[in-house]
Amino acid sequence: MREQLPELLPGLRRFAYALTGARADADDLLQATVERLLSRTPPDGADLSRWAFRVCRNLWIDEIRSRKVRNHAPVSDDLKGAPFEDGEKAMINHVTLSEVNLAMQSLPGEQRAALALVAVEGMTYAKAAEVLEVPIGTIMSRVARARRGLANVFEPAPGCSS
Amino acid sequence: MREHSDETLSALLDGELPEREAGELRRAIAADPELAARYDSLRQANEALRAAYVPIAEEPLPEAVLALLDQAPTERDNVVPLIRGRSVWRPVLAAAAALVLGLFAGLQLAERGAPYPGIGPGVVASDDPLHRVLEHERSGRTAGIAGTGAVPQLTFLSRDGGYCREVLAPHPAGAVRALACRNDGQWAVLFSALEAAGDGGGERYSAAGTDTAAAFDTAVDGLIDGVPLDAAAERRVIAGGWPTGESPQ
Repeated sequence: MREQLPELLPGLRRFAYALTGARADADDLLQATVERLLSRTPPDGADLSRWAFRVCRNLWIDEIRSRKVRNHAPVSDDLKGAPFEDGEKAMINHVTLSEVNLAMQSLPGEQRAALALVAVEGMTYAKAAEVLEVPIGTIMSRVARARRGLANVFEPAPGCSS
Repeated sequence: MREHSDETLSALLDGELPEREAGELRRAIAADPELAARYDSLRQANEALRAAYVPIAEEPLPEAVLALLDQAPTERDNVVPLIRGRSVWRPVLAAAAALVLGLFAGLQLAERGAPYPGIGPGVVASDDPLHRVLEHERSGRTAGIAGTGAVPQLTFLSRDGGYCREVLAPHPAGAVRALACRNDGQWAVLFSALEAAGDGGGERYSAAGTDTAAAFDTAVDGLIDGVPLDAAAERRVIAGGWPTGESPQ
C-alpha cells in the first residue's frame, strides 16, 4: 500500500475536498484516510484504488456522525481561511472553487460522492458503484441528479464556465 | 414531454451509453434545441466542477500527510478529535464477545498464557509486562520491554467511553494481534488472534494474516467511537494516566 499510495493521494485529496467542502476538514480527512490505509492490510484481491476511496468515504461518514456540529460550519468561512497562493489565476480559481463548492455542498452527500468519483476522478459507473457499494443504476441516477442540481445553481448566473 | 431523461444525457457525458444509443442521442440533441440546451447545462455544470476541483490535486500535500508517509510502518498519527463518555467493563466485553463470535470463527485464537503472558483473552495482571506496555507505551514505539516485544498499534475510545488499544506481539508462528481495553485501572485483552508469519515488519501478512487484520479492522470499527487518537492526544492520555470523562483533545 505504501508504494501505491503517493499516486492515489491527489485524487483522494480532491475526493476529500468534494465530500467535506472545506480545506481544513479535507486535509483532516485525507490524513485520517492515509493513516487508516497504512495501518490496515487491504482485503484479499482488493483493487487498491477502490479500497482507498471507500476507506475515505467511510471515514467521512464516521466523521459526520461524530462531528455533526463542526461539519455544519458555514462553508464560506472555511474557504476564506484558505485562499490560493498566487496571482490572478489563483483569484479566478478561488472564486470558481467557492461558487462550485457552495453548489456542491447544497447537494445531498451521496450525490456529491458519486459525482466527485465520476466527474472529477473519472471513474466508470461500475467502479464508482464498487467504491460506494451501491448498484450501477444508483450511481447513474445520483450523478445525473447531482449534475442537474449544480446546473440549477449555476443557471441564474450564465457564463460561469466556458 | 421528456423523451430523454437527465440520466441518459448525463450518461452520454460520461461515455456510459452503448455506442448505438449514444449515436442516436447525439443526433436527437443536434435536432432539438431544447434537448441541446438541457444537455449543455449539464455539460457546463460538469466543466465548472472539473475546473474548480481538478487543480486541488496539484497543490502541495499537507505536511502532516507527508510526515505519515515518511514514518515507520507502525507509527500512527491522525488529527481527528473524539467524543467522550464513561463506561464499565460489561457492555464492552459483551460487544466484543459478539464480535469475536461473528468475526473470528475459523481463525485460530492465541492460546492464553503462551508464550507471552496476557496476550490471550482475559484481564492483564498489573505485574504483567504487557500491562506496562499498554499503560505507558505510545503506538508505533518498539517497547523493548523485556518479556513481551509487544508494540501498541493504535489507541481509541470505545463507544462505551473506555480506552482500547490494539497491540501486535511477536510469536514463534508469526505474530499475535490483540485488542485490549482499560477499565478502572485494569487492562483486559478482549480478543486476540494468531497471524501467520509475514515479513516481520507488520505490514504484509500471509493469507491467514490478512484475514486476521481484516477481521480486526471490522472489530475495531464495531467498537470505536470516531477514529483513533492522534499521537498528541495519545501522549496526553498516557501522561495523564488514562483519564476518563473528558475529551483527550
